[in-house]
Amino acid sequence: MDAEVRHRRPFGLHHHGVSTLAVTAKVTDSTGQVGTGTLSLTITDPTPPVALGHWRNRAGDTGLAWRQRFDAAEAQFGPFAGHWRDYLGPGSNGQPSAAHKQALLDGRRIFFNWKPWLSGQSWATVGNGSRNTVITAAAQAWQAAIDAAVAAGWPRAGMVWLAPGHEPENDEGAAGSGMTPADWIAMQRQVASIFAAQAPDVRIVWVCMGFEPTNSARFWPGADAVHYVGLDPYERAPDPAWQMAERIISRSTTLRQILPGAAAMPVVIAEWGPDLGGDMNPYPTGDRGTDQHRADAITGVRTRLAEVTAAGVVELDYFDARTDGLTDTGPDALAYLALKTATES
Amino acid sequence: MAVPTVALSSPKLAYAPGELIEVTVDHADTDRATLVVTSVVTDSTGASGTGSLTIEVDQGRVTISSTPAKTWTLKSATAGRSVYTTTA
Repeated sequence: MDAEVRHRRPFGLHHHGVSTLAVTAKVTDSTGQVGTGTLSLTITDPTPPVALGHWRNRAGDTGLAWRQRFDAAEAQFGPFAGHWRDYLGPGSNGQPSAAHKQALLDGRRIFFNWKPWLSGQSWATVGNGSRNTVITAAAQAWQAAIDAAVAAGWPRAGMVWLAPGHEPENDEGAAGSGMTPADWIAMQRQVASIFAAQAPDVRIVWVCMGFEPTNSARFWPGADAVHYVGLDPYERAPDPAWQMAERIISRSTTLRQILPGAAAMPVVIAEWGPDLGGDMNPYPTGDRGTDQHRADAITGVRTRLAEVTAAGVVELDYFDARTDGLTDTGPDALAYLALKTATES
Repeated sequence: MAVPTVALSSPKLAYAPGELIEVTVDHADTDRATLVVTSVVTDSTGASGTGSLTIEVDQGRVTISSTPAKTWTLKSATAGRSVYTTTA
């Protein structure tokens, strides 16, 4: 399977039109001793292709392990050029699991969100350095996993992305709570700094909700700590289907315009879906829209891919879970397959 | 005799092709020091003349490279910081 997948998958050294510039500086003193520093930058193609990534945790997936859910997704839609998503919550040590390592060895890419604090702790706990030991160990473990996959023949660029926490607008607290924008920024910069030193191949994605870009911008940690701008646009079952594409395009465009230093930064739609909400009952009793509503929203994105690209978006990671979950054979699944084909053609 | 410490930074981590990349190299060495040697010569009348010489001890020599290779230009340099630029 792997050889076939490896041949079919559309990625290469310039994944997403994004290439890596690895910078090394050496300082030699008068005794001949040499100190070395490194920095990994990304160079973005101005018109990169859009890749489709995926998160799957459908209502019917109960009991399936992470890998089993993605195997099911690929059995339905084929291999993804983008990333497989995962979520590591508070209390996780942030290190790759055996399943993560095997996925990388199998040529898959991983984009994980990690809240690198303990349950009950705040962003400030990370920002003040209290979690540095755990974060350092996680970074070293991910770099080792990447190195092993590279040794197995897979391209290094773009293999693993990390969002240190996500959607801060949802969790903002009052002054002194440890959950202010300043605390979030300190947390992001702390994690980015450690990963830059310990895992230079892991790319940092800053992920906001983004529905009010000016509000989201209060959490921007600076372009020197971020490789990708990320946002999570959704719509709800009663919303017109065309709004899905509109929100992706307009919010991405606005964020790149207002975030200092982000004008040329690639954008990742870290989550998106047409039927936001937690109640699986059909709308209006619950939050789940019709199969056709999801299909129309996804098709709307497909028909506006040129505008999505122009907004700087390099990856669309669909939230195939809960009320946004796709069917096996319905019009939403067919629309998603068409979108996937369009992003790879 | 300590090994120099080196840290690189850039105003941003993502650049578009053709854009000017700026990388700052901050470096330090615990052995590094600036010595000022002063000599005073006094003649038989009591008049004196003074001369001095500044000596940099363990000054670091900085080199920068990248993969893929690029031509880097030194923009500015002080005892502990060198700033380089290249084109993305």
